Amino acid sequence: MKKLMFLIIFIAAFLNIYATEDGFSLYLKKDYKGAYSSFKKEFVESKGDPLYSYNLGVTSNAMGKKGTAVYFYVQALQRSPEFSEAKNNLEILSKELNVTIPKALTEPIHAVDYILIIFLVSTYIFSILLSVLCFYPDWRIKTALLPVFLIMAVSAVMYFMKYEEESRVSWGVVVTAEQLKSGPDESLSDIGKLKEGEIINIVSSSGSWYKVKSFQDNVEGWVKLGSVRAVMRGHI
Amino acid sequence: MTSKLSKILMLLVFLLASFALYGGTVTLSTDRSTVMAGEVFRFILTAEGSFDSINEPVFKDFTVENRSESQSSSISIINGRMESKKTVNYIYHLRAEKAGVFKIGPASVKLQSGKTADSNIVSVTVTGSLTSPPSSHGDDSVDSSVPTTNSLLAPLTNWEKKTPDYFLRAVVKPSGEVYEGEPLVVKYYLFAKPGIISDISSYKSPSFENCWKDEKVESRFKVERGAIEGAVYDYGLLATYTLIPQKGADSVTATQMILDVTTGSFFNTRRHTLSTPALRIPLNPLPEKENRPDGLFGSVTVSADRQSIKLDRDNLLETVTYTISGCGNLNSAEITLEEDPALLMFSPEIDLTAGDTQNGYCGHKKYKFMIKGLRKGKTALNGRALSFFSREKGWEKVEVPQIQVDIKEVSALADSSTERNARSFELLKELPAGIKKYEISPLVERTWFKIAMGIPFLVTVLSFMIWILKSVMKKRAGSYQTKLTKWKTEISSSATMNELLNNFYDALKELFGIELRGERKQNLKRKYGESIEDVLGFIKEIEHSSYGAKDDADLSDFKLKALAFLNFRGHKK
Repeated sequence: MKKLMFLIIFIAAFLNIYATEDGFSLYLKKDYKGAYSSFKKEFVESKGDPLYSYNLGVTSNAMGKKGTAVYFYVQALQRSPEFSEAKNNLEILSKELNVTIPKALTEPIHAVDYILIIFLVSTYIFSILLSVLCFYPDWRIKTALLPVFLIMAVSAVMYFMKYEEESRVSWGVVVTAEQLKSGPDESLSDIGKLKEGEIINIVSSSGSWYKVKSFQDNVEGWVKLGSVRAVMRGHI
Repeated sequence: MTSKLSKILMLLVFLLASFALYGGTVTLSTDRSTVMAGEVFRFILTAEGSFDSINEPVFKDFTVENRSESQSSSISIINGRMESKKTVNYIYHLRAEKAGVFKIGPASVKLQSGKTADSNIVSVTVTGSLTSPPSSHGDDSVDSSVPTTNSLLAPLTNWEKKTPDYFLRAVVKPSGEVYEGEPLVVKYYLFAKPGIISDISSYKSPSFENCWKDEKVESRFKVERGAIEGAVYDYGLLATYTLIPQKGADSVTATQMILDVTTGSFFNTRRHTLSTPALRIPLNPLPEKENRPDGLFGSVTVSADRQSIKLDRDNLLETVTYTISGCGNLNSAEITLEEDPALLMFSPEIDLTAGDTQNGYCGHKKYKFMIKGLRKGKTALNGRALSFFSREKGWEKVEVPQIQVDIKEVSALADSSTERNARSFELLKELPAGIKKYEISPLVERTWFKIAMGIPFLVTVLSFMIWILKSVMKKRAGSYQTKLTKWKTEISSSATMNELLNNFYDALKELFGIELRGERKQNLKRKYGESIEDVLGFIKEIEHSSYGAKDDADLSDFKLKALAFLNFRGHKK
């Protein structure tokens, strides 16, 4: 019975050691698949930390998945635009794959701007004026409320429109070279080819197909969902 | 006698002149260097000087339609020296048989000295056919001999004659033969005799193969009127497709465009389905394609936004923009910079703005290169020349302007590309210091933003609730005062003790919710506390007085007491 207990403890300890082996040691052992899984887990748990995004890029590159590496470097730069290692590796890869990385994609969206500040300030002023009006009804406060409300409403609408506009441009990275189809069906004719690591604009989707527009040569067509990874935009 | 003498004199002069001549030249020329296949053009051979015979050039790729010759001679004496000049012109009318770039010549003249003088060689570019425009109908068996619909108001084809009152027409531009990579514009029109079509339903767009496509569907059906072979038609543009054939493709094909139309009036409508034939536009390879594998169709120029750049401490990275402007296959035109070990050139940002114009598919394509210095010194940015073919100009070599680069300073990261590569692709245990992390989630979804927006919202709601509470209390207070006044009046106007008692009971009940009638004293005390004792004492007093039939003076006293009770209670409330 004791022997059995020891055996169980030993197996549990072994499994525990194996389970805690991190991506770095797996990478050094050239177990790139294991390292990728480990970094991916940490990437998900950290909600897209640029460090894991970068390490996933390095591991993908070691695995020969250069398109996936481009995606992770772009993703890392979305969260940390000053990340020079990611920028450097992305430059080397883009040169190697002969693809163009739009400058807009290596920077996060600049969401904090004057419109938002105006909206926040006007909201606070409106709220204070309204509160004062509840206790000291005065015609001057009533008169001041209308223009403040108008400023608040206009800035909210402007910000929403700007935000919508920025969100509408949906970028993606081609992780595996794929034929561009004329429609969302395998049997339809090819109208072009997407290079591995190429940047595309995702126009729409239908089932397991994306309608995309190639950034490189402006060609529009359909590609299977698995060949493209949508970039999650970073916001300042 | 005189005429005989003059003839002898002329002969002498001619002989002398002939002796005076010592050489000759022969030149070939043409009135047009680019012609269309099937077109006739003039070709001229000019021989000047002293020669025995002329060897004409061989026209193996052309048909000689006509040949004529003219001669002239002149003698001049300059500074006592006599010079004689003979000029012979052969004028050929040639017809080009096939497209391509062909060379004619050389011709030669045999000089009197026994030597031979050769002429120049003339190059003639023959472009697409005049007589065989591309068929806009794939269904040759149906419609092989009809004129094509390359003109908007061309006569009806056999296909269109099936439904002569209404039909769809595809108009292809350019109308002649199309070269590989040459942009095409296909416009689809609906033609109908006036008043026949009442409605147009959805249609199936054609799908094109072997080409890049840009589709523009008209949002409004704009009707125009025109005549075909004397018959009046209303017609409107449905869709325009700009196509650029893929490299190596021998044809561009398109499936049928299908459109549902409704004819007839309100009570007698019929639906018909119209279609165009499938299209097959054959493509000709560019002339001398084998010598110019990177050659493209079109006519362009390349410019650069600057002539030189300086990379120094303040400016380690520079952007240079090359612009390809013109008409033709801009989509495939590329600016490629030659590798330079002293420079790091990043993949360019490309921006293409082009569209269908009167001159064809025209616009500009911008290449933005970011340049970084790797080694100090002077160098230059050299681009690979482009090769373009057009009907008007034939083959052209388009040079990319050279940009001088003066590298004064290199960035620490970019001192050697080999070193850079070696340092790259290493895992990192932690983020380098001082790097900011931005959020993936949009600003409006973040906690701080929600809190920032929540505070004024809560303050406003709270203030509003307080205001409502205050308003309700005020309203209630106002209502009590009204009731109190009413009961005071009632009590004051009571004529008897009994009436006063009843009014007092009712006032207590309505104003304070105290119901005294039918309740035992102990219960009332338990319910309303000891303070009810004085009210009960007062009521007892009224009851005694009413049995005793007191006078009016007493009634007034009781009224005052009752009012005092109500006032006192009101203050307590």
